[in-house]
Amino acid sequence: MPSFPLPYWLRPGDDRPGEEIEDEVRAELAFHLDALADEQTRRGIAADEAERQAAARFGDFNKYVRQCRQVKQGDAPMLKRFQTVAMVVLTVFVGLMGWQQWKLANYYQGTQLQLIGVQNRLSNISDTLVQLKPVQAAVALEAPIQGGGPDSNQLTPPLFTGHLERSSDAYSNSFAQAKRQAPKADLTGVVTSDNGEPIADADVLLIIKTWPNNRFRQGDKAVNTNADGRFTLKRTVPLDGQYGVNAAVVAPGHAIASSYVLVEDPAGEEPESIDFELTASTAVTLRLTNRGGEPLPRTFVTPSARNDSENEDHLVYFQGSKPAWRRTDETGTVEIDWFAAGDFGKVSVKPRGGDWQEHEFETPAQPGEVITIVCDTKGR
Amino acid sequence: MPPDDLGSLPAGSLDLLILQTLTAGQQHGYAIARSIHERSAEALRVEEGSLYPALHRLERRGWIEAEWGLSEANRRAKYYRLTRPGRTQLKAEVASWRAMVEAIGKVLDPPPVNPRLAGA
Repeated sequence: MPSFPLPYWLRPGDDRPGEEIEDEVRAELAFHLDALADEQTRRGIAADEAERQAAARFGDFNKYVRQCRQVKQGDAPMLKRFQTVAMVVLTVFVGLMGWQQWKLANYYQGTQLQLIGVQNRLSNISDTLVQLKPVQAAVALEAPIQGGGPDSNQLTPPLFTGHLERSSDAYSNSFAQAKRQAPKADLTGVVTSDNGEPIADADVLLIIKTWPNNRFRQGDKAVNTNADGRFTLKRTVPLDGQYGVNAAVVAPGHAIASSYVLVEDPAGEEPESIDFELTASTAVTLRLTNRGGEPLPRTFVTPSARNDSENEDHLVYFQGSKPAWRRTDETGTVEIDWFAAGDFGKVSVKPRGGDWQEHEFETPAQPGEVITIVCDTKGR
Repeated sequence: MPPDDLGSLPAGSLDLLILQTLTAGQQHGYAIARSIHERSAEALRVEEGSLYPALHRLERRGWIEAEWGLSEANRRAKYYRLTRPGRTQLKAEVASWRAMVEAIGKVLDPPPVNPRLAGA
């Protein structure tokens, strides 16, 4: 057999039929056996006896034939074993690859969602960082004004704010430090009645609009006035970029009032005091029913807008109105004193199981009247 | 069976003996067995039961080649011949065998202790 560069155990064995191999081995061994017998014969032993002795000395003839045949073809089964192992390894490998691909596809889907999240956060970071640079803040001045805007004559406050980002979220957590370093001014104001008496414990609900890095942001704040009728919000509006503040005051016994200021370029100036002179309100009782006339107990009511006798609009943004929420009692009634006589008042109502909805009514001249509001309670 | 018959061969030595025997030229199995027997002063006897599987194994490994030919008595016999890889293998096996024998010898006959080094 010629020598192969292959390792010994990889070489193909004798692939002839086993019988043919055994015949050849038998012929080889038979020669050996004859030679042994010849040797005995030469020593003068009778041919029969010589053959018998030779056979005895030789041992198990057929066993040797079998052994030799196995040696000759031995590696053919070995090769088959190798092929089988390779086949199994390949199958497992292919299976693993498929599984990996499947897993990867799933992973990419998840990662894509994560990436979108990361992109959003990154844009928040860059917004915050840009805010730190006064030079670039000038760009913010030319920002297009979205949502709300300086013209607040419209009587429809942005009721649902799902599309608006809350600035508190955008700046919070890990960016708290950057926020602290950004130049911010305090916002203050005084709430008095129209006779000049300071009103304590009034709810001041503010919506702060900013345009950092050309992006509109809106956040809500709530604060109470102190004994002097004064409220203060520390570090609330930028000193170097456009901002807008809608402030609404809800105080017992007084009609709600709101104001909107848009400061295009604060130029480092502290904001002006936001002052309110509240007029006395007329208490009315709202009775909420469904279309079938049944009362709606434990239903939330919040002021939404007020058009006063001078045709001036006052808006309470829904986003920050929670401190002003009231709830109907078991008979579906609630007393409110948000509007003055002759006002057109607008309230937001949330029937249980239904959606927030607005209802408008004219405030009667006399207090204590009951106004029935029929609510849409679809889904109940 | 001569009284000085050493019986079965030490493990690994049969291949070495076959390869060495074939350096004298091609021979059939019977002649190889006889040659080993005679050259070892009848001390070594190769069992047929191990000789032929060994020959076929060496052939499979490419260290020897086989060819059918005619014996002195004009009979068909299978002749084995050393190949070039077989020669290389023989050299390696002889070297390792010598090293083994030398090492065993050292254990069996430790060299005399140098009295000056033993000292004290």
